Amino acid sequence: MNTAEVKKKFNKKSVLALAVCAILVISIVLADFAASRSEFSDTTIAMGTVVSLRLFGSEGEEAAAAIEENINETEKALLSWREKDSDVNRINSSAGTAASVSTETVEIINKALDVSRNCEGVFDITVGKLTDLWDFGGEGQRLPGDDEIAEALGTVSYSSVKITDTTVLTADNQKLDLGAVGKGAACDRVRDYLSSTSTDSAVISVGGSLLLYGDRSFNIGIVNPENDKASMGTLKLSDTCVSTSGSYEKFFEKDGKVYHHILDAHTGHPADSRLSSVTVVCSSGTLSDALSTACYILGYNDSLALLKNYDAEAVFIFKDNTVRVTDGLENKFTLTDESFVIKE
Amino acid sequence: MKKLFGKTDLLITVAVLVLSLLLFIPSLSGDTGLTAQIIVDGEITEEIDLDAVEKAYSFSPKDGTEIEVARGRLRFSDACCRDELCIARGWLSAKGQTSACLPERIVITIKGTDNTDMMTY
Amino acid sequence: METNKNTKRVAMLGIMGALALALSFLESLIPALPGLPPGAKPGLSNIVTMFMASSGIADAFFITALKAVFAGVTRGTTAMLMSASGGLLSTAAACILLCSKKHSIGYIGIGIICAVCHNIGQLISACLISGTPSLIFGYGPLLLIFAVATGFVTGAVLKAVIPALDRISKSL
Repeated sequence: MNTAEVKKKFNKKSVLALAVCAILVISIVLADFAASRSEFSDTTIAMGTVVSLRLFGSEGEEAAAAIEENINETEKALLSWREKDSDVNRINSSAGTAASVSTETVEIINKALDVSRNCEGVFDITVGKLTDLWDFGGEGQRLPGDDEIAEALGTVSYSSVKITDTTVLTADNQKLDLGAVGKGAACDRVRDYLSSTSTDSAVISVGGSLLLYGDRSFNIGIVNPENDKASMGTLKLSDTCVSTSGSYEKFFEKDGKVYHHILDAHTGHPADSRLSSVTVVCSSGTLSDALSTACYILGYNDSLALLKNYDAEAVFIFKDNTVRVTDGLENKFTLTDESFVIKE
Repeated sequence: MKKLFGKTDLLITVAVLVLSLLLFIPSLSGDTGLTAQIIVDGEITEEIDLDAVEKAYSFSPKDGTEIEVARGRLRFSDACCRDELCIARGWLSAKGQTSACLPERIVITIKGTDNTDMMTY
Repeated sequence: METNKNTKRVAMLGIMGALALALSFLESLIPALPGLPPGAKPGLSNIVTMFMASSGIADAFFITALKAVFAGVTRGTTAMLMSASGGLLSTAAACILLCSKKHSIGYIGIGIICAVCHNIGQLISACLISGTPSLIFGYGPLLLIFAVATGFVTGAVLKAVIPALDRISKSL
C-alpha cells in the first residue's frame, strides 16, 4: 500500500472508532440522565391533608416513606393542636407562663411573628380563640355573634408573644393557631430532610403548599378559583416554595352571604378582599404560607411592599378574573385559561 | 450529478406521510387514556382503566363510603364524614385531579398530569 | 503537498462549522410552533452536515458533534442530547445516501430521509429523558409531516448551494 491508501484506511478506521466512541458516550450520558430523572411518585394522607410527592433520583420509594413520616412527625411534635404533647398544645395549655419547646417551633413562630410585624397584624398566629369560634370545616362551624367575636379578638395580639431560643410565652387566655403556616413549615422540614438523601430533585405538595427541590424546573399549575377542575395558569419554577391562599378552600353560606376561612385578625371576620386567591413564591415554605394569607387579607396594593421585604413574588387572582403578577414572575407565568386576563 | 426529485423521492415522501397517518390513528379512538387510582390509608388498593368501564358501577372501599365509576370519570357518591367535601368535589375527569375523604383516609385520583407537574391550591 | 491538504481541510471545517452554528443560532430564535415539540426547527444547519457528508464521513460527524456541543453550551444538557441523537442518526443516513452511487434517490429524498432520521433520533431521546413513550404518538405524526416539508427545503437548498460550497472548497 502506498501512503495515500494507508491514509485512507487509517481515516476509515479512525472514523469508525470515533463513531463508536460517540455512540457509547451518548448512551452513557443518556442513561445517567434518564436515571436522575427516574421518578417515584406517591399520593398519601399526612398532617390531615393530601400529600403528593414526585421524587427524581435513586431510592425514591424509601425517601417517600421517610417524608411521610417526617410530615407526620412535624404535626405530632410541633404543630398539632390535637396532640397533647405537641409544642403548640403545650404553649396553649400553659398560656401565661413560658413553655419549653423545640428550636424548630421557635423558628416557625418567629417567622410568623415577623410577618405580623410587617403587615400590622392583619395576619396573626394568636387568632386561636377566633378560629375556634368559627370552626371552619369542623363540627361547630357557625356564624358567631358580634360580642363573641369581640371577646375572642381581645386575645389576639402577636406583640404579646415573647420568645427565646427555646421558650415561647403567650399572654393569659391567648391561643396560638399555626394552621396558616403549618403546611409551609412542613415543606421546609422536608427540604432539610431531602438534602441528606440521594434524591436529585423533587416536587412535593402538602395540601397545596409546594416544595420544589433541586435543579430541575417544574411547571406549577395554579388552581382555577372558580371550579378547581384544571389550572388557569402555570409558573415555571425551581428550588423554591409555593403557597396559595384562596377563599374557595373552606367556606360556608348563610342567609345568602359567603363566609370564608381567611380571617382578618383586625376585624375577626373573613377578610373583605377583591381577591379570590394569592399564590406566593418564596424560598422559605413557612414564609410563603404566612405571606399568602397576609397578602390575601391586605389586597394587591398593600401586599407589594410586604412581598419585597421577603424577596418573595406572587400571582394575584381577582374576583373579576383579572390576574396580576409581580415583576419577578413575569417571565415565568403563562396563562392557560382564557377566561382570565392579565393586567400589566 | 444527482437529480433533485425523481420517482424514488416521491415514493419516500408518500411513505413518510402514510407513516405519520398511521401514528395518528390511536389518538382517534376516543379513548380518554385515563387511569384512576384508589388510595386507602396511603396504599394504592385499585387501579381502574376508565376507558374499559362499560356500565357505571359503585363500590365501597370502606364502610360508609361509596365511589361511583363511569366511563372516563369517577367520584365519591357517599361518605359518612361530616363535611362531605369529597362528595362536593364532584366528578373527576381529567389527569391529575384528586378528591379526598380525609377522615376516612381515602383518596381517589386520576393518574397523570394536565401538563403541569404539580398544582398549588 | 500534505500540509496543504490538511490546512485546507481544517479551513473547510472551520468555515462549514461556523456556517452550521450560525444557522443553528438563527433557527433557535424562531419561536416554538404550536403542536410541535419545542425545539423543532427547519434544520437548515443540516444542509452543511449533508454537504460535508459527501466529502468525508469524519468531517460530517465533526460538524454534528460541534452542533451538539454548541447546543449544550447555549441551551443545556437536554438540548445537547437531543441535538446529538438527532444529528448522529441524520448524519449517518446522509453519509450512506450521499457516498453511495448505487441508488436513485434525489436530493429531496435524501433531505426528507435525513430530516426524518433527525426527528426520530430526537423523539427517542425525548421519550427516554421524560419517561413517556406516548410522546411518539403525541408528536410523531406532526413531526413526520414537518420533516417532509423541511426535507424538501434542505434537499432543494443543498442542490442549489453545492456549486457555491464547492467553489469555497476549491479556493482554499
